Amino acid sequence: MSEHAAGCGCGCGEAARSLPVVDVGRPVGPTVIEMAGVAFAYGQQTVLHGVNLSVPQGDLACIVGPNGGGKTTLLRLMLGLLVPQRGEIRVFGKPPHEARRRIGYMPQHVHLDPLFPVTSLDVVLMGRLGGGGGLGLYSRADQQIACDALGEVGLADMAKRSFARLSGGQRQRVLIARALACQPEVLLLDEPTANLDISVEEQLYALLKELNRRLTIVLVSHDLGFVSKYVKTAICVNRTVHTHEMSRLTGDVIRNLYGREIRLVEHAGGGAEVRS
Amino acid sequence: MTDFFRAMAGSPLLLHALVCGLLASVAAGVIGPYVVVRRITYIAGGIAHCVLAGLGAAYYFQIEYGWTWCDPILGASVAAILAALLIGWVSLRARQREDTLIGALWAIGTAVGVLFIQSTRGYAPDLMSLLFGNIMLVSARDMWLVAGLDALVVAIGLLFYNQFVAVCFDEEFARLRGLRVEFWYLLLLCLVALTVVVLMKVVGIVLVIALLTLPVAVGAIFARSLWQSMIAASLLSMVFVTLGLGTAYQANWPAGATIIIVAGAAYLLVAMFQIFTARRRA
Repeated sequence: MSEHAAGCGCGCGEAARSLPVVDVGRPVGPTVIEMAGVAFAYGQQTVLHGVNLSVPQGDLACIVGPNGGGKTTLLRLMLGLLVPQRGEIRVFGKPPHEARRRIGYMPQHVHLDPLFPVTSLDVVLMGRLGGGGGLGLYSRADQQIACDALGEVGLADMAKRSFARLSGGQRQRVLIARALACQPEVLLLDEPTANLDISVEEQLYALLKELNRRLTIVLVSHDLGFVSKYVKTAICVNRTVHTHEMSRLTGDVIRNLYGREIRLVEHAGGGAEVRS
Repeated sequence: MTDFFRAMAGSPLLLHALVCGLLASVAAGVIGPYVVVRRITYIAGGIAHCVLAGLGAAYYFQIEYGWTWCDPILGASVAAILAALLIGWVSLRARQREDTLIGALWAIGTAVGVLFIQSTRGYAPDLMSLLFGNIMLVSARDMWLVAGLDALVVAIGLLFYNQFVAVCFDEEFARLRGLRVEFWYLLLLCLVALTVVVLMKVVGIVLVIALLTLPVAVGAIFARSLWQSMIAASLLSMVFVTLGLGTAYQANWPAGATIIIVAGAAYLLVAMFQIFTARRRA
């Protein structure tokens, strides 16, 4: 892992270097997700290369970086939905597709059909699929797990409400509940706060922080400045990956980080390439 | 309408027609919602037109070669399943050119069917009644075959409800839960195919899509979940078929087309009602 490396591009390397080298906050438990020398390309287009990272148990890590930098690709590699051309990925010490049942995944809700006739509880129950049996109705135990998951995200009274009629923030929470209904050990979330207003976003992060007491969480966000007070680790992605501990990044440093991040996005939008 | 029911008492053909229509309504009601939410109406249309090839071939071999076991409904079912698997395989493989390839299979299937039917000497089945249905010509044997297919489709469609809903709603998530998404998708298309065969007896190949989608679209104003949509679509479909048959009997109109006109009118009314209420709310 290349911690605090210069030229990461997001400016966080320089920000981190100005700090006293004290590692607190980031958990040092057993490794949940590990990547070594991973490279991935869509056809001729290299999206990620030389990726090394490890996510320890109990971490709350945020994948940040410019658009098109490979954030979602990185998440999909962890899920085994994409297979890298080079390198190795291990989740709980196994190839990702073998560890899927221990992962709870929340996709971006924009790819779902907004007119689909399902209730919130129906959606959450999908998290119970694939556990043997499967003929006819869900078992009472599965129903209970789904109801508990809805309760955990604060939507117990919305169980019978149509998914289509929920607000954006409520839909995100239903999808988190669906991921929780899988009874996972690690949660992977793709832009959980996309298109939400600030107060709803705040609530959602408070929920994730609460869940982090028992779960390892990795999420994708477009906005490190905002999530920095909640997350323990920043995984900066721009063609390659650098990991930084967040616990000591406060005040001026955060502003610096955030400022650099913004400038980088403009820079990348102009067509320039950022290499490490 | 009362005349229609009174006439039915004295006419087994009319009774067969109504029973067949009501049976088909259940299959359409259970499978239609899947077709609508998964947005595979075009695929269903393609399968329906490929069925003509199977029907044509069955008639051809039955009459030209004297293969009496080669029943048209059997031929249609085999062709429908083959078309479903082929079109399903194409749509899983060729994401970008999916609609072009399905359109091609749609046309080729129809063409093969027309050739078989025109090559059949002597008593040739009426192409019009295959394309637009002739429910007044349902024999008792046909009715039992339709009932069997109907039971099969409805049983599978309901037993694996959870899997089908999950695959239709969020394919990627279903895959991550360990579901074999391709298998469930192809199985769903096979059910669509058999439903097409059942509906074909009622409204004909060309009009099948209407009975798969219109009752679902009308029922959408009541339905909060997919199983509610199934119940609503089944009941609405039964109403449309009964009203359509009765009207067709009284006015001496073709039954298939009349049923579709009734369903289409109901759909337009509901659509206008929705536009009206939306405007009042705005």
